[in-house]
Amino acid sequence: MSFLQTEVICHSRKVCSLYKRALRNLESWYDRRPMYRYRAVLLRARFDENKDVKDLRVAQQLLDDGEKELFSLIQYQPKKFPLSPGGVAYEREVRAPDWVLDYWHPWEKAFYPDYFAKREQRKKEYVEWWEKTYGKPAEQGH
Amino acid sequence: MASLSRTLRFAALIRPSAVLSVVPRAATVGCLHTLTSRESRLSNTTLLSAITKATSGVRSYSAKEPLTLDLIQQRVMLVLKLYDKVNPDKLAVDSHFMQDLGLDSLDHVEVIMAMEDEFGFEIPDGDAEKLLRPADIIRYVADKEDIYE
Repeated sequence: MSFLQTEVICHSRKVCSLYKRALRNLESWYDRRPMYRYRAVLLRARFDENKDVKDLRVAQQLLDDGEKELFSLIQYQPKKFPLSPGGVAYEREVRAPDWVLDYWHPWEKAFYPDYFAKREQRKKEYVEWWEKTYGKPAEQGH
Repeated sequence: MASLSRTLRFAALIRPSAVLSVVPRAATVGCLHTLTSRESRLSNTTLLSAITKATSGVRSYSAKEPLTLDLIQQRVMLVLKLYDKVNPDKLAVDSHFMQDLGLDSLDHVEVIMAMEDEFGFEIPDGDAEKLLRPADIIRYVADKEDIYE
């Protein structure tokens, strides 16, 4: 991995991640559904025959071999969901964060008087909830 | 998987009709320039109105159908009932995949992939390992789609 590893991922999660990526890779190669389902069942059989390996060194070696095989078989134009990174609609809709509403001009806010009145109330309640859950913030000396 | 083929068919439908919508509008612009002003004022209104009537409603921005909590629940339960490793009699909204329905972790991966295909967005691994009941999946999808937040 080229980036810093910040968490320890257990073996079963790595296997599940490999399985999911392998299935998505198969879906990119075999776009017709019956063909994909046939290949997916074969892949699942391959994973199931090594299911009960108890020796973790053997299991780790199998996992490494699986990762190498997946890397060698990646499809050149993988099918991606629109909203996922690398998809067509990724970051297409940028939702403004909530604090932007505080920067509106009072004349703009006057168009929605009820909402902004409720908003002030909501902000107070949020601060109260936060201080009840996490305690008052420590005084930061400069 | 049905939704995937449906969306593919939909995309195939939208593209040719989008091409059709471009061509007549260009044709109207072209012919407006060639007509004289007196003739154009008479004919371009009827021509334009005819063209716009024929091609109105073609510009579809691929919006999703409006979701409700009930609809999400029906879709999730349908996908789970269609899975052959799940016994539909034992399936309930609260049933745990591993403990009640006897599914494997790889089966759980397949279930989450089916949910991704059904609703059209990706569920990352960190979130997926916490979705162990149909109720969790319904709540997660409703949170992502902002339904009765």
